[in-house]
Amino acid sequence: MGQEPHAKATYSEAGLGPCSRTMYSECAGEENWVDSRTIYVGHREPPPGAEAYIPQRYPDNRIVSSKYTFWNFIPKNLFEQFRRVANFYFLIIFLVQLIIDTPTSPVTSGLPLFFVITVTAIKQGYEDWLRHKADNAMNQCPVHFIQHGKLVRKQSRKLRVGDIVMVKEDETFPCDLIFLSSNRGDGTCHVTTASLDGESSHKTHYAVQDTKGFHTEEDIGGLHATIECEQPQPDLYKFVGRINVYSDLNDPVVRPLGSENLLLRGATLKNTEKIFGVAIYTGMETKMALNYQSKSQKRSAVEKSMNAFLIVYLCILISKALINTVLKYVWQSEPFRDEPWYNQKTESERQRNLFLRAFTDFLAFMVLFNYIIPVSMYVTVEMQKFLGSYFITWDEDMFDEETGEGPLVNTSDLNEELGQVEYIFTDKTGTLTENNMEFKECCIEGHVYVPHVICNGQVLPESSGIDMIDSSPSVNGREREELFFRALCLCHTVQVKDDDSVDGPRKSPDGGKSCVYISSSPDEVALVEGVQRLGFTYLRLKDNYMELLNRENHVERFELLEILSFDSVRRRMSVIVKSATGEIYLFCKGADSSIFPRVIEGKVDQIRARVERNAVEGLRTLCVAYKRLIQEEYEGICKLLQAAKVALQDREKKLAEAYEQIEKDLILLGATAVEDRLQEKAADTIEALQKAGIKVWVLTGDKMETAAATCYACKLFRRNTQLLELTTKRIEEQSLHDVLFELSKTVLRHSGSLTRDNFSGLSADTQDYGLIIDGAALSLIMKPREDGSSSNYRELFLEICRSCSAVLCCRMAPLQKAQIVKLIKFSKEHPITLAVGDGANDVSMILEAHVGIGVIGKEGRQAARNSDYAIPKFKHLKKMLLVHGHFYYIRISELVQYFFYKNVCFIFPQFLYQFFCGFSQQTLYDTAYLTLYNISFTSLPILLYSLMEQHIGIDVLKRDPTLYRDVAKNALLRWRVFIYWTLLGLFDALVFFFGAYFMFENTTVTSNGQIFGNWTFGTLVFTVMVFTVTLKLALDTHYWTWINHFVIWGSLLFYVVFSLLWGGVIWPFLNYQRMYYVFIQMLSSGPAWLAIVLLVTISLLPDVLKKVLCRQLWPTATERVQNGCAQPRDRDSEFTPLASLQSPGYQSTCPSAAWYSSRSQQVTLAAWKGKVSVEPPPALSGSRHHCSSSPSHSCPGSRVQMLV
Amino acid sequence: MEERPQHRLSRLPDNSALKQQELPAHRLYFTARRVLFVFFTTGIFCLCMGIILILSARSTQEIEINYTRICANCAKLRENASNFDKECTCSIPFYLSGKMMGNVYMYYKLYGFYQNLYRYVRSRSNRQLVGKDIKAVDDCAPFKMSDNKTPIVPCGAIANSMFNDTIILLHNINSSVQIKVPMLKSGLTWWTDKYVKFQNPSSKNLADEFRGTTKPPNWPKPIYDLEKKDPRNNGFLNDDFIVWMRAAAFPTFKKLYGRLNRTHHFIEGLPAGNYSFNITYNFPVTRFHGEKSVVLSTLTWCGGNSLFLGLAYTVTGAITWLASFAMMAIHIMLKNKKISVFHQ
Repeated sequence: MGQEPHAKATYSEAGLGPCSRTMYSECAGEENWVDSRTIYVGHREPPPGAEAYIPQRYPDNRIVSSKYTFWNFIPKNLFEQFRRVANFYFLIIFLVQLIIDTPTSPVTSGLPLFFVITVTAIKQGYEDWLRHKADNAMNQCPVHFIQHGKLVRKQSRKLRVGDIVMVKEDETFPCDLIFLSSNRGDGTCHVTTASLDGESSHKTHYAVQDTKGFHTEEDIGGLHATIECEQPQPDLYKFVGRINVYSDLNDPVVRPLGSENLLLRGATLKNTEKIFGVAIYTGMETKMALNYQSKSQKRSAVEKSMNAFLIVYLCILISKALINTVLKYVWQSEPFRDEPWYNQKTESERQRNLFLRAFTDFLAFMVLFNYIIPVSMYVTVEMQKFLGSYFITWDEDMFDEETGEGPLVNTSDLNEELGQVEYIFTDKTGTLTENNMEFKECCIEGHVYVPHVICNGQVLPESSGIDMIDSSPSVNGREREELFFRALCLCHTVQVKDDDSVDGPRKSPDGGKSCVYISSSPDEVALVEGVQRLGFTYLRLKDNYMELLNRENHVERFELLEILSFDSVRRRMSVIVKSATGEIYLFCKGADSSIFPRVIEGKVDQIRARVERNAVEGLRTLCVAYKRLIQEEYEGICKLLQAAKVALQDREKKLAEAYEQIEKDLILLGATAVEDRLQEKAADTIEALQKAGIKVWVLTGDKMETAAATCYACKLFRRNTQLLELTTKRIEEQSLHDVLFELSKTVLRHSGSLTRDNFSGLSADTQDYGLIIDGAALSLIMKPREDGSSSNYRELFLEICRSCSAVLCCRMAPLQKAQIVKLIKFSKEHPITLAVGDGANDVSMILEAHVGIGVIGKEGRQAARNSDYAIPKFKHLKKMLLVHGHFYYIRISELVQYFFYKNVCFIFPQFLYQFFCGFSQQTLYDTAYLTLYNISFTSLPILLYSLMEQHIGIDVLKRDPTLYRDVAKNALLRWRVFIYWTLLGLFDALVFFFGAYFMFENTTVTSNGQIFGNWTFGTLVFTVMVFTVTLKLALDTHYWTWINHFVIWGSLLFYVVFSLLWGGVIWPFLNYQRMYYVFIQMLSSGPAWLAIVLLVTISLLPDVLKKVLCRQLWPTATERVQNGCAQPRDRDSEFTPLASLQSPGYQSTCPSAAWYSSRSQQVTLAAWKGKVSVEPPPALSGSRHHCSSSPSHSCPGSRVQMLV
Repeated sequence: MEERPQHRLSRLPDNSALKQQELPAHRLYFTARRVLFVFFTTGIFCLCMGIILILSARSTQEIEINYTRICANCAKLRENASNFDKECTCSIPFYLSGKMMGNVYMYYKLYGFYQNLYRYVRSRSNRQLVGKDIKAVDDCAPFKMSDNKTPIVPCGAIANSMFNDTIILLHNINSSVQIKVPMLKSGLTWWTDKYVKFQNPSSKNLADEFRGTTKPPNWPKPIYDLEKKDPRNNGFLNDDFIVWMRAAAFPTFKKLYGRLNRTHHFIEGLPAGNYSFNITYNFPVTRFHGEKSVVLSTLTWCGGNSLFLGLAYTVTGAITWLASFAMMAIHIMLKNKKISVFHQ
């Protein structure tokens, strides 16, 4: 799908006088649109009686991208923050603490909450302030207006709908304008839309035919016209409207308006001195502003697990509170316990209702244990994701020197999902391949033409002219040949840039004529350049005449009458031109499947054979056909088109119908073949990804044969891959039912003998399957059957897909790509999917997949803008997933588990203590400890761990993709692992609590006989806990940099210093002094030291033991690599890519008749051409290369040499 | 488009080790070989510590006499709160078979007394206790004010329930001669409590300072009469009071009551022989189904005679060793297997 459905320019209708005037009556039927607006150009009302004046209100031209104003910031921001469940939970806890008499002061949960809310609010406020600033700058920048025929400067925000605006070169358009006139005579201008859709190529826009003569301010001020157009809609490439130009003499002239007349806000004027335009959409109604809307939020698997764990902990919390409440009342049922003489109640407490008391107690217990769900976890996770994503953007390996592009992170929410990918859906063109097209050959009536042989991008000097393989054709043949070349020269939308400073130039290889062709489709450029090498040079489009230089260096001029622009449904485009001799031709160019059915004449069989052969070789083929039109026919066409063009409703549909009628009964001329080279290291990357246990699917709009060849080249299919075809052709022969059952039988028979282990595949001896399916077959499968049992085929299809190591889907429409992704996404294993693509046609699947990756390619930035991550080249996917994804996953899973663990350690002793204090909600720890435990004592080490941890080296991860399987399927966040961590937390909590309890219980722990109280007990437990929890993390850290040392030992030191300070001073702001000297007194006792050491050791021992034993007895692949890091690994040799293929001996061998093997090697070599500098064999480079048109005769081996 | 080169430069990532995640680091993996060493060392350390701790704990002596039931008649008397003004004493003879060497500490021990109840712990006024503002009773509910609205000093549930038995240890040298074992009432509290957290109002005459306040309902005498003879141990500075005010962590707790004044006869500690406790029984425990006892104990550097820490160390050491042997066995087994595979 090299081409996008761009709004290709519709050329102004110079020769269409007869057609246009009569349109008014035809349009009348459409007067009753609801969604339209009428604009009076320059606010001049139409002549009286023309139409009733209905004033409409439009917004002014202010762009507001900010969310808040000064006044509503605090309430609105708070509201938005508390809409998050976690924040709301903490708010409730805080309010409960404020209302009822709880053991912990509201500060303990209020302070962290306040901190989190404030930080978030400041961040969002700052971002909004920046947006305000940007908005202001934009809204206040000066704009030139025409008022009463004079030029006036005003601020941009004062612009109104209907104002006439003047824009100079290199200025951006202040709002959406209808292009009235430019200083260029032909009424065109060039714009770039880089800031809208990222396409930096120049696009030509056309002024309204009847106003393009108004060049001066006075003229334009006197313009009298109204514009009717649809209400604003976000599609950048769609616009319908019409303009009524009133003149004194006649009826108003009605003109259709299309997107070629519309200049969008955000685009920049280029190569044109100045233009005039009338504002039609302003401010927030401009198409750019309508495109601001945010994408739907994707959530990662880790986040889902995290939420599941949270629910478990919420249940634990509630049950803890319930248990304690019940036990409290059971315990207090003895009156001497309810109110012993030493702890009498006040009168009001005695009188309180029992149920109210019980409920208050329940809430108090909730508050007491609420720290089990830590507010800081959310903050830490957010920070980790935000900061962690910088490692991707910083990565040097993922920076592309050629384009100067690095990776982009559009969302950091999905970092860890990169380590979980099970299915990759990749586009072919531009993603796997370079999208750098090269004209390879053309076939005219069965004769094959090859342009100059190109070696490393340079034309070999000795080969001049064309390399025609066949003997000189007959006169008739020559005529056809020239017609074919002319067709290629004319049937395109390529622009010529004579200005070299234009960016993104594609210089023609022929240095003599410095024609630079620009097009949104690289195929077209390749074709035009190819034809140039064959002797016909397209010069320019001037005054609606296309000029080309023929072989005899004569300039030929063709008048361009119509362009039937390309779209991905029709898959073809046509032009209608009038030659100098007055003959009218229609040239049509398109995919073979869309051309052949419309052909009535020509050497169809020969050309079809050649096309198929080329497709098999992985070349992109296009067929060219023509038909000669007589004047009457042409006028009919013209009417048809005009009717469709001025339609305001269903214009697309009507145009498509018109095109359908026009493009028929063609005469086939020939076919072209363009090569798209494989991207550097694409094969290597796919191989690595497959080794990592990821299933790679290629989804492409290309022909099956072309796509299959690319798949072989990039090692998606191997030599021993058995291909299963599920194509329309086969379904035509058999029923879909039979085909599916047959395939599944084939696949399942095999997998029956094999243990169905997902991780065992891909070894050399096992048979692996590759499936090829095309769009039509897919839609048959997806279509619900009449009897309603729709899922049946889908299940079967999924079953087949699961057994295949690689799947190729060809002939896919963009929406079908998304459909496939969706199908897999919601299949019963719910695998994590990743879609990667570079073009606008991939956007739907990028948005659909769990992770969408855009390749910053040649087809604009649409994919990159809509993606979650953007990378410059496909090969970067390897490091992105295998290294970054793996790391992120390891890090965040540890982060999540550790957070729950440390809070179990924190809160469980508190729970146990209730059994020793009569369930009276006495806290074990001091308020400061309660508050700071999660905020400062144990927060930094885990944050740092979650940013820095590398459980294994980067090189090892890159070298050994199989390690990726160790974390597949959310391995580190499964319930088993979660329960282990929770049990470990429980165990540790029991150790802290009962260790300290038994030490305190019956004895003095000082040498001077003095006794410690409850706060010392709590402090001892807390100290042991802080040390254990921090050291546990230290034991989990595999990668010790100086920062880790600093943070881990630093935070322990901070705890000690804080405790010394906190207990060392009587703080005037506290009304209690319970911690005064508690910590210091504790440290003065020898047994306390011994107990700390002992309890920390006991807490950590089981975990260390478990780790060592698991590593010894059931090591994972990662651990095996870690264990034997120093030893060279024999596995490595597998990963030296293509070593055998590069050996020089290879070139002399002519591959076997098996087409795929030869093809894969050929394309591979082509891909490596940049690196392997092989001198072309002189004998071949100059010689005429003959291949007959029959595919069976071809010897691909010789082509290999041609390429190199 | 002229900015292009600059643009390019700015996009080029910084090649610092941190940003490329290539900071120099050492890697820590728990391979059996490394861990074995650590485990053995830990085991040895724990075993040694355990043995030392057990030995030193066994070198201490401790006598505990539970006098709840021995003084049952007094207990009965105290069950009824209206008898608060009736005095009841109780004498408990006991025989000390070996002498208690060194410093001897006397504790009282309460069973089933929840000093850690939430409301109880909070019911005190630090501002009052530091002597600044003796009428500050805000936090002291339900013992803030007496019925006639005079503030209670010291206020609060903790102070009100202060342990008020008097325990006197007598040494019966023979059947007729009894000498009182001299006990020090100093050094029972943390230094910081006595000198920072608890302060009397600055005046010479405490009774004047506490005018306009009333004693806690359970107290027989006001705060300034706790120890009339020694001004440094009177009022808020009374050691027994301060000791009581530090809430215990568990419902069973000991508090320091006195330490042996090693003079004259007791210069080396308590000699063996017949002793008796003379107890003025004031503190009611049977009302909350509690018990109380008196404890005499000697201490070493690691505190009292609890074996817990020593045993815990020993057991940990033993388990560590067991674990390390197990690991070693597995390690050797795997190695042999690997070697045999290699040789085949």
